[in-house]
Amino acid sequence: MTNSINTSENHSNSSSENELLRRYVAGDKDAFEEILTRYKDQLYAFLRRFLNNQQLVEDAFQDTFLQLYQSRKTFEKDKPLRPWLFTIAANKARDALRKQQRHDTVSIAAMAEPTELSIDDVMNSLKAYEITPYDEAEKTEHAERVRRIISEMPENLREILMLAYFEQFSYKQMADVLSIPIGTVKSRLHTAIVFFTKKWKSATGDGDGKF
Amino acid sequence: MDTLTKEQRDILLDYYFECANQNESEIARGLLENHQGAVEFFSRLYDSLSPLEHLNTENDTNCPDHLVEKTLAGIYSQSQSSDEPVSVNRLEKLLAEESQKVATKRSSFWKGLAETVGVAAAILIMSGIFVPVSRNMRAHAWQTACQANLSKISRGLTQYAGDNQGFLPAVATKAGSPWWRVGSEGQESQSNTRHLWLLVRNGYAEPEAFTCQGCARGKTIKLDRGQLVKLPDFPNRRYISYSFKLISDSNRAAYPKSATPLMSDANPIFESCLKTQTCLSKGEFEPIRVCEKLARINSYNHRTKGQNIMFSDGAVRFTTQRIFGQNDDIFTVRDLNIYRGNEKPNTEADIFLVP
Repeated sequence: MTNSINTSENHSNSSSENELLRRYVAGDKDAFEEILTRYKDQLYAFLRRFLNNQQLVEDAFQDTFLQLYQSRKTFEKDKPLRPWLFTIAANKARDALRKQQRHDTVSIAAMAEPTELSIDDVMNSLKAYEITPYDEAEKTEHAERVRRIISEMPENLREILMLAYFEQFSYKQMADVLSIPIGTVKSRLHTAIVFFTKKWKSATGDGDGKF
Repeated sequence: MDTLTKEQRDILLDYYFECANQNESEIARGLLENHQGAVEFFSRLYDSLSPLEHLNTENDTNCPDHLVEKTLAGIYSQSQSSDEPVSVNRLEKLLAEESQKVATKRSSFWKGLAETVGVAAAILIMSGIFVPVSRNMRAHAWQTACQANLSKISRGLTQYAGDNQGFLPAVATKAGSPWWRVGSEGQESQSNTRHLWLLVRNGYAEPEAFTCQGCARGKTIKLDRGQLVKLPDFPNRRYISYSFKLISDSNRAAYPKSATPLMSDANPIFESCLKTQTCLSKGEFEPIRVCEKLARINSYNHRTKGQNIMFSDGAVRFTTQRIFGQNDDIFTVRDLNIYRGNEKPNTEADIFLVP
């Protein structure tokens, strides 16, 4: 019974999204504003976590929706909007980072392709590091550390971790958003987990944090 | 954890990130119910990545209004200068309309309040619909893993009772003892967790089973059997995230014949006071009054969404219900409103799960 209700709700949501997209492609501004209202918080959260710089976030956010608005004529309305929106956002975020790095003359090493790891490496990393579980009481102290680790993470690891952990995209969707094969999505995700685990442990006490 | 195959690890990782298909999800759930290595792998994965939750604050996830306005203004001004003419600047029109409304329509406090409440409700509804259901499946996985823990402990309790003339595990404890003082090394038995420790010490249950995967403060004991048997109790609250039927005085509580709650995710009423290590040296904690909120709240193990409860017939259920039997709240003593950590129910029918 519950499943049939959910299915019917999903169908109804999907129909209303299709109708919204049809209106958006036809140039209906109200439809565009509704899309913006629908996705603004998700997009903003993704960019905040990815860029961790308010000015860059705001620029990438505006550029994403500007491109969405301008490219409505080429949008295939039978495709789901969300992955497409995140594809634009991820590209805009990368562009923003590159612009900033050129401006700040930050070492290009931060952008280098890291060694991509396997599930065995994830396993070894989880076993080797005793992680103190998330504790509400230490929230403020730890928040800054997490942000620092994320900002130190190579961007290709950072984006995959954000898309997988917070946005819950499937491997196929992540592969589409990032234009990489599914196998690369998986190995990058493994690498991102190991990176984060080691750095977090290093930041909170034990472990050498080498990567 | 070592006994997992590469394929099993892949499935568990996919399940964690909600990238598993239906078949893989079923395999993952089966592993989490029956395979200690899988539970450990999953638990470590959770512990390793849960600090990312720090990036989930309100500031991080709520797009500010000014950014929406700037974005729309930028888009419409671009489109005005592009090939598609726009007859009216929509943002300016909306702002003008809004300012007129403020000047002419907000005539009374109550109307303003009603509008504010309406907007707040709309925001809440929109949040409920559009904020990604990012943690729902993960939360469900913790519930399943937690149920598996309680099922294992239930089997241990049944075996213990079978080997001990039908009695629950119990050490000598006097009424009025501080049932919350987990890890106290005094010879006199105190904490209500000492009874359960008998299951670990005598090999009826593994210590890992006493840590709920959903509990933020939970930690797994890393001691060998030789070290475990020397301990009188769980080392501290981090190693046990469940509450157990309070046993005292008779010290030989019979295993209940009818299906009654025996154990559950940690009692939420005493969560805050038990975080303060300084009160461990005292016989009582600062008095806690059970206000309306505490009388309704569910265990924090699963972010107050509900709690797993183990019944004496071996069933384990996830529920938001706290009241069972004859209007008995399992997290309180009947007709008692203020607690200092040494209370005891007056009747056997009044189940009180602590700490």
